[in-house]
Amino acid sequence: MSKVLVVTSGKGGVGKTTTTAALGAALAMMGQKVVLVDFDVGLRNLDLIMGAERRVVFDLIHVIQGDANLSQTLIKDKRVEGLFLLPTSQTRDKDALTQEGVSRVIDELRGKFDWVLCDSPAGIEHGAQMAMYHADKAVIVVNPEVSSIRDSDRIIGMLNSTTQKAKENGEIEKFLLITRYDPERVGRGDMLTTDDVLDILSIPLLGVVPESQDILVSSNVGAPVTVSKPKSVAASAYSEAARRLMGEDVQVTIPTERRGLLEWLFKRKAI
Amino acid sequence: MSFLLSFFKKRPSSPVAYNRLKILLSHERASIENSADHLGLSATLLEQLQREILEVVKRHIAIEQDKIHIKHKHEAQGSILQVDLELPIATDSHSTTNNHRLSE
Repeated sequence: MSKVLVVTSGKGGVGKTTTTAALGAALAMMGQKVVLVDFDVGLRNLDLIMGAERRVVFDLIHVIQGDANLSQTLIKDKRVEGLFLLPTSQTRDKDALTQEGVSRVIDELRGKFDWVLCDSPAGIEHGAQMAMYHADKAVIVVNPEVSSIRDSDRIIGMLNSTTQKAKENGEIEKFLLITRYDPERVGRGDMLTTDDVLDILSIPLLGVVPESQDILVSSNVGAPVTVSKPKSVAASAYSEAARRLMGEDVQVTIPTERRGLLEWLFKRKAI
Repeated sequence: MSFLLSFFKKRPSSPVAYNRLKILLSHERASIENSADHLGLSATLLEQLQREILEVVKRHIAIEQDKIHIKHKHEAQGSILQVDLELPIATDSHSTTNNHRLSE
């Protein structure tokens, strides 16, 4: 059965788009048929992270308004079989996302794909509401940092109250994905630990992605990190998360400090 | 010596973050739950009420945007919609607070 998953966070810049791309690609590499839907109308970026910015002809708003159909609009990924992108508009504003238009598009996508991943815009307004409204599952992307955690708490509250599932007295299955985790700062006591974050937000953990050079490099070249650097620590965190989404029972790997002896001596001197 | 100093001075900051979040979120969760109750008084409705009451008051008295607060809370006797208006007085150095309580 097809699943609609929203990737959301409240706060901007925590890694929603990176996560949507990396998780989507990982699911597709497991043989699933996946579509990534960009809900950030006016500030689209998923096309850029996916390296498809020059292939956008029609977008989500065209489909909602009936100016194009899905098959004209979906962009097929050239690297991963079964991975598609539904880009959004760069010029329109979020009000173009009508409730019934979005419902119709999501229903149609459910018929074609195993996974519909909705990349939410930052904030708690209309665009974010539309992205989460139809979700069966939610990945809340959070950085181990106070403002991100507070905003995530608001978003969790909204997922529990203003979505279709909530209105039908059901519950969205929620997962926490901690990104930009820095084991060294955690070791020094200057970053909240995974346990701290889980204790505060109390939803199940999907994975912990370390702050990583590989993610920046991947976005520079327009590829999900799970495609361009599949062996990296970040990519394996995302692949593990994808397996967990598929219902596999995988132990979460918490990134640890990996320092050579020389580096260790050097850092000690630097204090 | 400097090594010893830094050893003693350095306090981890993450426990501070943890405690601040714990306190803040327990407070925020309570106020959001209280605002979305069985009467459908959602946070947005309260904001709208706040805006409209302010408009009405403004027609008669010069009052500032941030001088009105609306709270909706549950107590044993029933729920209370509390409207706090800070009114400027002639001297302009003090302000008074009028509470209008509407019990349901």
